[in-house]
Amino acid sequence: MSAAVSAALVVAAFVLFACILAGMWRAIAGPSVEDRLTAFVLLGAGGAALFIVLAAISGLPALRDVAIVVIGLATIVAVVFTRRSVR
Amino acid sequence: MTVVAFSDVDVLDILVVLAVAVTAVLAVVIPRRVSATIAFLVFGLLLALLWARVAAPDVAIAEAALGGGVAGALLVDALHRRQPDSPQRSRRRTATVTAVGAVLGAVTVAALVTVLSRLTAEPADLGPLALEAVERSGVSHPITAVLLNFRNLDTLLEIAVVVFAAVGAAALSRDRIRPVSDPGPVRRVIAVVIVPALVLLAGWLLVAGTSEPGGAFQAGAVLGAALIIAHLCGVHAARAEGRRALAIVVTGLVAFIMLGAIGLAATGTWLALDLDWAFAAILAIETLLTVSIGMALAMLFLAAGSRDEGSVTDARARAAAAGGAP
Amino acid sequence: MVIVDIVVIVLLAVGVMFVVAGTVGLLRFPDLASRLHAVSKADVLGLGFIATALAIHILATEPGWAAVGVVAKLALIWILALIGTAANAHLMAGSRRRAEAERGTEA
Repeated sequence: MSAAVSAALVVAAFVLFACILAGMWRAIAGPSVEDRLTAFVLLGAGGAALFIVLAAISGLPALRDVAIVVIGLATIVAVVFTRRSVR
Repeated sequence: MTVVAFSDVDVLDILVVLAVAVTAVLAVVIPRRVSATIAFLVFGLLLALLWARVAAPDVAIAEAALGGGVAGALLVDALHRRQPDSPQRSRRRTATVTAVGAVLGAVTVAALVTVLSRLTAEPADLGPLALEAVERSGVSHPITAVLLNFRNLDTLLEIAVVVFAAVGAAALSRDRIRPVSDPGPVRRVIAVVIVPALVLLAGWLLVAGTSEPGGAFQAGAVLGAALIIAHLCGVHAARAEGRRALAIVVTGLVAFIMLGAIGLAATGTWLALDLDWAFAAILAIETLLTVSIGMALAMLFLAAGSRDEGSVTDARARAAAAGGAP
Repeated sequence: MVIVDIVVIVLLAVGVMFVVAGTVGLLRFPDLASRLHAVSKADVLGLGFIATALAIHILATEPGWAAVGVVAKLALIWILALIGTAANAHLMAGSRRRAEAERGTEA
């Protein structure tokens, strides 16, 4: 892995982490529950992106599995929250 | 592939640690339940990130699967129950509690620092011993070797705890859980695309656990979440309740105990695995444990939700009775 | 080799830019509906670009069957993100519409 690519990956990791923190703000402050759950799903997608970048940086391929788990289970909160409407 | 120079990513580690601490405090301190719940879920995600940064991918997978999956489902489901956000406390009492907590925390930290600074002996060499013995364990991933071979008694007891929790859930759940009648097009897509993907993911984590990060707990947590999603999206077969589900949960524990007996018969030591059949035994037990754990987690969720259903049913019955007899 | 590196870096940059755009949208848009648009479209597109960059990178640096597996995993992550965020958008919008309808009938 060339130095330029690894530097780019590290920068990408930092920026993605900053996006996760920013999404957390909406998750905590968002006026309604739907805003918060949407922010959480965004955190799932952003978190998955961060994990696959980390997998490339640190050489731990298992982190891609973490990414799949994070994004695959991100919708569970939305499905659970809206369950009351399907009776 | 060379790894990036460490100095670059240490800053990221410090930021992650700070974020974890801040999120944890927010999750406890925020009075609104919705915000506190979401803060806790974000805390789980950041914790998984922390585990990834210290090169512990097994724990990261487990944290992501449990914190973002089943625990998230349980907490979000609880948001519907109409209870006050937090009880009103007198300000003096809050101040007293905070002061006592701060003092206790400071004392604990001081004690820990003192103990750790006095540690001069060499740390126990169990780690290198275990790594040496992995090739005699039947699997190639050290974590699985420890969990399912060297220290499988601990895993057996953990499974027993899970079974007890499932029995408790079965006892507390009211009536039969009604299947979801009309899920709607969005949920149907989820049931058709995401649920099978999650089941396959659970299978992959289970099989990968023998040589890479993964294993029964991670797979079971993903499977539990998949069963919950499947039930909520109209898959009638995914109702984790009743005797059938409890039987499946207990099977894992029973099989593990039987494995102990087989080990006793074959090698003279309870739960010891012979190298010849260790791999097959571990994979078989892990498969049963995955299904057990998944079913138990789904049972917990459905039992918690069924009490709301029960109360809704009671309320409707009372309203119908009151309306029928004016 | 240098060309592959440049392609990877450009795709990474584009992907990260889209994720940032989506996050800014989540923070600054005025209501739920527009925030849902930002998240479901921009962020997932950014994830796709990042996944593509990493796929090209691994195919270039460690070619072989293992790399194909990695590419398949990255593709799966993106597909799950697409469907997951789209489903979430529908569920959240529907929940909000129902809540507004209830408030309308109460008021």
